[in-house]
Amino acid sequence: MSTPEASTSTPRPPKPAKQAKPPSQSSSTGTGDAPKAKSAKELKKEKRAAAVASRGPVDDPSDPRSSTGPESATTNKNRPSGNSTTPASASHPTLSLPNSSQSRRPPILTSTSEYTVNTPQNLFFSHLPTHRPPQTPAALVSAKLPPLIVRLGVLMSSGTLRGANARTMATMAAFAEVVREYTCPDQAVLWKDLPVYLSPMIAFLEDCRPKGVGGGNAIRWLKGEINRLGELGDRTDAEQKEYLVEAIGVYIRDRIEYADKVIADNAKEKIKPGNTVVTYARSSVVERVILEAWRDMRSKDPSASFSVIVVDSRPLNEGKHLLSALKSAGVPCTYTLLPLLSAVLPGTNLVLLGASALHSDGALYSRAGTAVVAMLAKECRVPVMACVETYKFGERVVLDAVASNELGDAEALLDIPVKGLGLGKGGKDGVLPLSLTYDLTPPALITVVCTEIGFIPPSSVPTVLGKASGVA
Amino acid sequence: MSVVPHPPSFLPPPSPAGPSNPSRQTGTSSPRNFDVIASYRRALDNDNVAHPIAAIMALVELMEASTASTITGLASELTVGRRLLIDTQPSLGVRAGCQLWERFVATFRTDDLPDFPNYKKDLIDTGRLFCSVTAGQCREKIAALAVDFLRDDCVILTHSFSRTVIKTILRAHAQHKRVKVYVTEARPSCLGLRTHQILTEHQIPCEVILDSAVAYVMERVDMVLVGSEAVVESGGLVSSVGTYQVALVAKAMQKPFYALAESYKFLRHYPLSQTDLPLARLAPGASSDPPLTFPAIIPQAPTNRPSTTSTTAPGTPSKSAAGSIKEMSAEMIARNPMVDITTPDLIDFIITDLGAPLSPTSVSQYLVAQFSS
Repeated sequence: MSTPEASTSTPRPPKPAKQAKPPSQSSSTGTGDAPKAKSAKELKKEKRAAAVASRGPVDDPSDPRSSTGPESATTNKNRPSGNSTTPASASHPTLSLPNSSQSRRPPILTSTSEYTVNTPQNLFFSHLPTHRPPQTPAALVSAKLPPLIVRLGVLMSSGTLRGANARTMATMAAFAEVVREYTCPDQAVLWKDLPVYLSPMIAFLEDCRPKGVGGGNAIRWLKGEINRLGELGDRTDAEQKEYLVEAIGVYIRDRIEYADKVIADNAKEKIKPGNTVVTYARSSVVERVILEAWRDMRSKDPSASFSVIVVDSRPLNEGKHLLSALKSAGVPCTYTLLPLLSAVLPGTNLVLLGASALHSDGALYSRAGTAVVAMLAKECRVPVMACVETYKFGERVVLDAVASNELGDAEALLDIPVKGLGLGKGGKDGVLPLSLTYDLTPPALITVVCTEIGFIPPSSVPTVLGKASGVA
Repeated sequence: MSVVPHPPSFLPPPSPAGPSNPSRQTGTSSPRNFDVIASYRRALDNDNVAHPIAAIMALVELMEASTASTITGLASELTVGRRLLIDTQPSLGVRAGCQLWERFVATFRTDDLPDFPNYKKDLIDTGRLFCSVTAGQCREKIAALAVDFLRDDCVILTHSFSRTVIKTILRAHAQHKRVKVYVTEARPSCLGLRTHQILTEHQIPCEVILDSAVAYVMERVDMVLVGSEAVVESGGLVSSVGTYQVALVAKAMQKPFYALAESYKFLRHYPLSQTDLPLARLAPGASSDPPLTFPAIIPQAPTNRPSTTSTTAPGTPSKSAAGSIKEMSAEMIARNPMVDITTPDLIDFIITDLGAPLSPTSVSQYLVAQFSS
């Protein structure tokens, strides 16, 4: 919520004190991007973007591309005013100057402000990243991001590309392509320059849609791999790139694709003939588990069968996609919405859940509504099985779904087909829409977690995490 | 160790069960006609040998008899033997023992003995040593740990028969702690009577109670101490039927419930319900339904199994000729489960030979650390 304030000229009570600093700083240290970026970091308390964006210039200020590239691109808009600013002058231009070091900032600011004016947000959740359309032209023109990345960002932001696995795989595949196209400048070392080259892309993607724990783990792993190139040494750039591209491929294969296959193999054993399985929204792993269980059961005994209850909810209604996939496979399905779950849950045998992340205390971070499903299942004593790949295991302990979450599309939420409510353009008439994407299911409600290393209770997540970090 | 010795009639006779399924497998990879099951039986004849250990001993004997000349050949023979045991033996302990041994073989490293005969000899020696020494020490260790939980003048409820529980109680007795024991009859095996016999021989006050009287005596009980057949990944216990309800009553009356289990009984399996157990196919004709499920069609005869229609007739009226008191027939009993799963939320501690008593959740952590690599 701090972003829109920056571009509007309305008085900003907390800002001026801080804004006085950047000019004085820049005057004392002379020129250079590093202080400016630092001040940008101070100004914006957004850890996500600032951390990534500022790392580039601070880490390697001498690097020609990372600092000058975005800088020169944004010069057209902001530099003139920024350069002409005296330390004592109006704070507004100086404020936008530090932003210019982060390539994508200026265009976003203007549009976000318009956007958020339309839909006021609940202040309680104001710290969460807002759902907003990506700044495609700016990213393409001013930040010179590869079209591939911009396209990915648009796909993720629009919801065309949904699901932690799909997003992570697409991101990693895109980065493999970027690494392949990348040429290291003459004076630079690849393992030092490449992270700097990638970070605006990572930041842009993060801005389109927060990457989540799984994506974060993948990108952290990628950075670790790039750093390891430095230790390996004595390789040509082409070899190093080759190595990275291959490693990314292996990561996608082992941590996601094979993991899903093993999870499906494990989990399908728990679906027995005559059972009724409940699932909520849509998860690619759960879909795979159900389809493989169906295929497996049918091949063993053509008369055996189980049925699936797909529980869904507004505004995303993702269950529809699962429903069509199951229907085309011939699995008997029931489709219902979350409010009716309590009516159908007794008498079922298993609740299958997907996840965006599994935190180290065993709490499941998944599509909003999952916690309700798990709670009801506990009440009805139906076992709850969460299918989670280990790359989605997060090292943090998260106590509620408020501290970290994602705001969904409020327009979609307010798109209620009732005349005369006057909610058409959202947020008017004092209505505060609240659309959170995820919620947190406490570990006590989860019977078992199905991972590629086998079935574990949620309490064993730290053991798995410890093992993984010990190996790597 | 409350392993239920299954009535002989429900066990598949070794000769027909052996050739039925695995004969084609043994034909391909086991050159000698080594009978794993007979070996397993022999091992079990020793009263102090638990099912997992008997399974490991059988597999070690199989390796000894094997004529394979490569590690791969040996491993495939081992796999065949393991499958045979798991498929025919009803005890889950067998599965646990086989898993343990396979894991051990897979990770076994000999640094200075690269040639195969020595490797094999090393493996066999280690296996034998494990079965004879380590396995025996496990119970001692557990008894030493568990005896501290027994206070002077305490009343213990135990279920069925467990060597580890008896060992613990005897040790407490030797430490001059006054211990009183209630033991359930534990139908249908009625092994509680064996516990009673052993304890009374040692002048420990012991009372056999009906399985249906568990809730009645629970208010006088200080703690519940049970053995187990296997410990599953969720931290639950697989043990002789009735343990689950003892645990439920204990939880309802807020009495501590301690389970004793040797670490070789840890089983990599995560049951989601009582019926979710990897049960061996007992006999070719036996129905694959879990125990105590209603038949799809109500049979005209007392049972719809063709082989038993004749045997039911003498079994049903049982001993009571008067007809007013009826007992369960062997057929009815056979349709009941032999084991049940005690869920981890009912268990206070699992006392193992691994050191400090484990909470049920630590079992999975231990197994993950051991088996995932």
